[in-house]
Amino acid sequence: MKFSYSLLKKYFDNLEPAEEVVESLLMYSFEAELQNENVIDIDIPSNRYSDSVSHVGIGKEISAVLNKEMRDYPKLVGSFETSFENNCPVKVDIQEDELVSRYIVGCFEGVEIEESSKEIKEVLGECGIQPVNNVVDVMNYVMLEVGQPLHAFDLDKIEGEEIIIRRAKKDESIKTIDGEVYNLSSSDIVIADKKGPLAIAGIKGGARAEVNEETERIVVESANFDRVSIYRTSRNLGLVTDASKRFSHDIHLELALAGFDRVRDFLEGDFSFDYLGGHDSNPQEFSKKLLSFDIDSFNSFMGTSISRERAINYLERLGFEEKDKKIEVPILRKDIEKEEDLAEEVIRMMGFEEVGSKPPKVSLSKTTTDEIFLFGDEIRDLLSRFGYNEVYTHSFIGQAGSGKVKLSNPISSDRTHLRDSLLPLLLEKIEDNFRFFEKVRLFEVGKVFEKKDKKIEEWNSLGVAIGTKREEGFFELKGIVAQLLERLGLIDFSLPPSESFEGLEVKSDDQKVGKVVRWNEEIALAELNLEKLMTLVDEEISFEPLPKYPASSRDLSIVLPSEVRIGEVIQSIEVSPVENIENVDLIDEYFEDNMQSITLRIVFRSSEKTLSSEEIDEKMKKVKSILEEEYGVDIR
Amino acid sequence: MDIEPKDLEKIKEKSFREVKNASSKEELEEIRINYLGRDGELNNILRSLSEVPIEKRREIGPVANNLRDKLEELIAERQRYFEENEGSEVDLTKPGEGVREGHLHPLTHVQREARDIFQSLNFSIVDGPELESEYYNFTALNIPPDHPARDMWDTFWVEREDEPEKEEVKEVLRTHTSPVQVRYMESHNSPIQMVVPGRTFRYEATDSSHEINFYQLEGLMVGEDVTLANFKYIIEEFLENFFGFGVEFRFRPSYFPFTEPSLEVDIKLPESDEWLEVLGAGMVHRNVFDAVHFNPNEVQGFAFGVGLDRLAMIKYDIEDVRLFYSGDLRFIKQF
Repeated sequence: MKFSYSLLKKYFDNLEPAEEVVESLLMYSFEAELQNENVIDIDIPSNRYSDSVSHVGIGKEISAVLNKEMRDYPKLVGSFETSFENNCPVKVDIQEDELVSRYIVGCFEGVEIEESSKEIKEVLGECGIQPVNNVVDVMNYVMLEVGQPLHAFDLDKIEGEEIIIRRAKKDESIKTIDGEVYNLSSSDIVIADKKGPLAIAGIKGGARAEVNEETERIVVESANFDRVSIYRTSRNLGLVTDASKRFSHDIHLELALAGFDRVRDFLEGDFSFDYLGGHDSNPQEFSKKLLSFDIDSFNSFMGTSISRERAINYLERLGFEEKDKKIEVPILRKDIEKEEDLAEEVIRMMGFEEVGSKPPKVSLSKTTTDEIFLFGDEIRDLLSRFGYNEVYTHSFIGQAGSGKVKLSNPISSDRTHLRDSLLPLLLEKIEDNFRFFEKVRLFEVGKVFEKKDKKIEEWNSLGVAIGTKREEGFFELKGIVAQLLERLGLIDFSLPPSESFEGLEVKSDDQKVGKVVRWNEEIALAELNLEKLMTLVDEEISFEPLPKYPASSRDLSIVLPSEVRIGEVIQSIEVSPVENIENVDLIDEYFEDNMQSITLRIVFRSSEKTLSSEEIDEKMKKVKSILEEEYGVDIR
Repeated sequence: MDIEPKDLEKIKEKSFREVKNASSKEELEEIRINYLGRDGELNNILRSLSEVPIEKRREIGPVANNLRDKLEELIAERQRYFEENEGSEVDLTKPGEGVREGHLHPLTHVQREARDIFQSLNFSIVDGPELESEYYNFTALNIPPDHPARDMWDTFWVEREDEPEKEEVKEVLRTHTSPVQVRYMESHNSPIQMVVPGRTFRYEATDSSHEINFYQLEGLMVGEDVTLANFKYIIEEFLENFFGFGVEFRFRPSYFPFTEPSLEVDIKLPESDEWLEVLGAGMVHRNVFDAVHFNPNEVQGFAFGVGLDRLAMIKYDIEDVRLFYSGDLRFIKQF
């Protein structure tokens, strides 16, 4: 929120330069930044609106942190001169008490509309508010000074001279002063007359009773509306204003009176309008909270050792007072409710720099790491060893479909849903990288989401993708997946062809744990469910003694109908009753006239002796006859 | 001269080995001269054969001659090899072969480093869900419904067919890793020392410093006497380990509903004069302890949240956060 340095300066004798003020606020109060020589941007915390969302409030902070007295400024609390003796021609009808906690109006006549003074226009400009005319501007100016939003209506445009505060009716709408039309609902509060809404309460005034050149009499409103209602309406209408921000943050009721008093002062004094009187729906004296403050608890909480005197001194600079060992809280400090709240004030005024850094004393306990981190690390290390590069993609995708989780406020039309798979975005990234690389190898570990029986599930997924221009990528990826699973310690898995897509399922223990997809002749994609995998892998590696006897291999060429799957041929050799087969591998293949000619290399090894070539010939004979029987082919 | 067959055997072994190991034509010629030249070792033997008794000559002669033939043949063969390969000496200045190597994402590197540092300081590493209930993301963290404090976090909401009124089920994409503080305290007793690295989400327009998803690391330490001074120690230890010795710190007040006091930590790198905001923190708010049924009069502690993307950007001098999620290998391959 923007603050005018020139206005703040008026409250002090010789205020430090703006840079210094900003630096002190930053180190002891609020996030602040100097926008230009006269504008300070301050981030008011949401619990500090009540006392600080005004130039006087910020002045008080500056006064506290610089330990410098404020000279001349409009009061925010206390006794005010304004009287509500009634000659006010306007009546007020509050229809539901909970809508408004304080409603002050006052009427003025002899109004002359003109341009505001240069001084007021400058302050408004510095705070980002467009000047309109002297009445509207002074409402805004006083809001900037004391933090209370104010509104002026043209009294002669209020039908029946009665202001009604009520909930909006169904299908009611209002045209605001900027010409926009808003459709209201029954949860919105309106300021109305007999004819209809005059303003969206606490948010924006309507065009109908707008103050303009013809205005001769005005009603000034200084109110405090139900915080939650204003917040909701402002959100529902998408209409956030200086007023709505302040009311949403629960500013103090007392400010309504302070604001009205200050405005009356301007209108009567500076502008010479005639004050006719007004109403205050809820005049009251506010009592101050008393809290205890124990310096020992403070020190053992912060790890400091400061004296009570020093702590109290900091509090006093902020307007707190010590009374009978208790601390009296300034009225506007709605955020201060407990001793911890006082402690925060003390520590920030002291400065965090002064807190020493001390190693904690802890009893030894074993730390743990959630398994997904270890498993994820292992997978990342393996895949990067295999030459795959890790990417992070967004959690959002665009395609609709069953089971996909839809966002109610998507950021863009291509990011409407949560991803249920890592593959769509990995595919996109492969294609993006094809602009710069001939071969692209990617993987990602990340959460995916899916709706199952109305419940949304999320789990960690692994996506691996390969893109090789003008080359088949699928078999490398298949090899990578198999190698990965083996290295992770998953001994028992299979990769059967899928019936629903061109690719393989990854199965283990009768569960589907993933898939390998041949996207096209260049791109292949694989995805594995890490939560399922984690439950299946057996991390123990058991050592097998090195072979004592040599291996021998034999090549076997077979011509088969091309529809016979090579994987099945290899498997039928591996599972055959022929003993001592260590490995079967495909070393050559070519196709001709619906037939495929394949060459397999079979490796034999016994753990008991060196196999003689006669023994191996015998085994090969058996293998051949098994294949001949199974596939009905002749083998050379 | 007394010649024994075992002498010839020695010469054979030695000469054959030398020929085999010869690395140039010149060296080979030297070897030839040493054995077969006018004053060569083998030549001298052959010449002196005429002086040995006839029986001995019959025994040694054929062996020696045979050895000369074999050696000549071997030298000739080696000679041919050198001639054939002449001028094709290996050029060692040619580029080495490229090694296929995969790279990990910079955020993975940063997260691992952060985890390692915290683990060395006795913190456990904890995971939590990305999809959260409104309760854990906000309410339990002292951010009540319909409170403008919620506007501090621009939130993605999940659409539900049935409009649930109960905040336990209404799902949001977590806007910070802080909900895991609550989850962890619900299931563990004090003392607690843990960090939570993970993905978080913000509903906001992306630019060079904002992304719709990004990574945070949450930290929580709770015990009987865990103080703000302890927080300063732990976080300085972390930042110094992460950024290296000589990094300067600045602690200043801030506001988060779930900590009190709240503070912001800035760092200044050696040889820089710019303060960089790196993390938000504070002492755990009494209301958060209340929400997890910890007695705030018996335990106290600190919590903090650090943006891992931000740490990575500072560490590697990356100016645009969007690069992390671009999948661009020209970027990834630098890490």
